[in-house]
Amino acid sequence: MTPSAAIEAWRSLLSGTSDRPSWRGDTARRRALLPVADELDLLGVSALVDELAGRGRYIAALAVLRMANATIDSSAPLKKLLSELLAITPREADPSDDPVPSEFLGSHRPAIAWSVLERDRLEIVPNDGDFGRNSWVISTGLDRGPSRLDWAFLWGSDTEVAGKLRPAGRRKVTRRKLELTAAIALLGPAGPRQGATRFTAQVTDLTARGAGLVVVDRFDRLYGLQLVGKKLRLSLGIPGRTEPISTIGEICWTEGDETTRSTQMGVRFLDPPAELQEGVAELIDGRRDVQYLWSLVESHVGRRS
Amino acid sequence: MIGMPEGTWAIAGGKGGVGKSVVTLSAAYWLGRLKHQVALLDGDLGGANLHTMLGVRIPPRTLDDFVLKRVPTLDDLLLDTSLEGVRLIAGGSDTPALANPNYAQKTRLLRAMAAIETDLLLVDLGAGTSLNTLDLFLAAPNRVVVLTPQPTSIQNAYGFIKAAFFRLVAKELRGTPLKNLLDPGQFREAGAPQTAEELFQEIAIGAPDAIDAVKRAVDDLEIHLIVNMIRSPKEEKVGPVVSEVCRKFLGVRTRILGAIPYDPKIERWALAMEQGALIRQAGDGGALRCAYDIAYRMADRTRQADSERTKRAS
Ligand SMILES: Nc1ncnc2c1ncn2[C@@H]1O[C@H](COP(=O)(O)OP(=O)(O)OP(=O)(O)O)[C@@H](O)[C@H]1O
Ligand SMILES: [Mg+2]
Repeated sequence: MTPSAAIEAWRSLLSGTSDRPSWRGDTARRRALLPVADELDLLGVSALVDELAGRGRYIAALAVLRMANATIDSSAPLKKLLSELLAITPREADPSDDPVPSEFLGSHRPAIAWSVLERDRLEIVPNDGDFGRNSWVISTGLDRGPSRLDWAFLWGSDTEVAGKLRPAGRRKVTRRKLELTAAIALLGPAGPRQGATRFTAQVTDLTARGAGLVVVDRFDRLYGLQLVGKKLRLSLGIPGRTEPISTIGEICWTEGDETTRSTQMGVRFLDPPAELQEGVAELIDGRRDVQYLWSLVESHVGRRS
Repeated sequence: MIGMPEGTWAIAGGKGGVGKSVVTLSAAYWLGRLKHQVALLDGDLGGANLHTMLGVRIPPRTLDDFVLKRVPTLDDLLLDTSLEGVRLIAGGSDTPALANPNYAQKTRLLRAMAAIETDLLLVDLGAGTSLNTLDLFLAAPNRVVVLTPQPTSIQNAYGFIKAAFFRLVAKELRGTPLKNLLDPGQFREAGAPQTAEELFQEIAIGAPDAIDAVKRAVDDLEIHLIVNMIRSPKEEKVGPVVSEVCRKFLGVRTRILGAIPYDPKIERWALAMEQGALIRQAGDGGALRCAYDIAYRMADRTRQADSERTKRAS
């Protein structure tokens, strides 16, 4: 196959109009299944990556890099493409968009992202499950068995991102552990149950685009409510800031746990204010160790006159 | 890695003026009195002044002579001092080659340090967190960080330990896909790991083959703390506080080697030494008494480590 024919084959593969190859197993097997050329047309790869990223199909763009990597020895030029891809600012949230590659690969830093990509851990397998044919499950953890699934996304002709997979399968390891609470107010009619509209949640996961929440009170009131798709206002107190940051989000998934009597949910921010972005950056990149150091100094040593 | 004798102690502090040199000298003084052979090395590669503090105006031989290969060993540089049993290797005079040695020079220096004939070698390191200072610090089997209860000193001491921790991990990541993970530029990027736990998570994903070695290296890292210039009993807590933050965020073990009060007599003692007086009398109580405890622990620990090493070897 000529290099440009291979890229054409990848393109049609990625738009769901060709037979679906199973992309697992060792490199040799993969090469046998993939439309692979002996030489790499780097310009062609670059153009395809650009095209896909421009349409918000970041995972597909990553998959192209992964396929290209299977065909060449030196990954240097692909790494460069990857770092460009990681630097792309995500477009306005569109539910059909792929997640940003940095989220998918656990880091926006090319060295780490590349190592995930390179270690054959980006798996692409045909999805024959419940989510419609002509789609693939892409994951970074399938090789360790379904119970160890770190991330999985569906991708196909009618890309439906993530939402229908188990919530536990969608968490990424490098998120920060947080000790934060948020005040929540459900917007719109909550249904017949009294008192289900305001509650406090622990924030388990936070990015500038969304949050993972656990509600430990009000279990009886929330249990069984149809929450997905509902909008809520979330007020977040960020240490070191006097005013809470408030924003509106939409509930993407929920999961009730009867044993711990808690409700987990994933919320996507609809129009996050810039200060939320800053607040998140402060929290995540804030020097928590130095803050802790000062709090200990203050309580045990006192301020020095 | 060059195996350093167990009696090698590197004394750092992150911040200038916290008393690294005074602590080094007073510990050396007591170690000499306890009949140990002591060598001092002025490891402040950019601004050596230990010789001045010992009353040597113009040292006849300095580290320059070793760097410029005028002498083959560091033993050739040892100068007698006014402290009994204590000899000194004076620092060079701003030789650019010394302030910024290359890899080969550093290796040669470390080898020569390991070969010095002495019971204890105390290396007084400069302020700051330059890679050279960090490398000398990490190369020594015993590492001391001196700090005072001053906020900048507390922060710099912690910053120094953190920098040493990152430097240690970076060494283990050489030759792995994450070899650039801790490059200074990357390190400051938003989202860069801030704690050992986060760093280990990233390494477990990006360079799983290296994670065990990284964890082992961090487990083996032990740092001694000396809190100097304490003015109230509360200020002694600075040691445990820094220890706790190191444990919690870096997973680095620290031990309190000693605490030294603020003591105006130290200034007089230092002045006498600088004027070349033959120091025999330590004076009563105060800072020098605490320095005795520190010296005693240093000797004790060296002896223990030595006997453990002999046991392992046999
Ligand atoms: N415990 C103490 N009580 C009173 N003064 C002290 C004490 N320790 C040190 N000093 C004084 O503090 C000053 C700085 O001490 P020293 O030169 O040892 O610091 P240093 O950390 O080696 O500084 P540099 O980074 O410049 O090498 C000196 O004047 C010294 O006499
Ligand atoms: Mg000094």
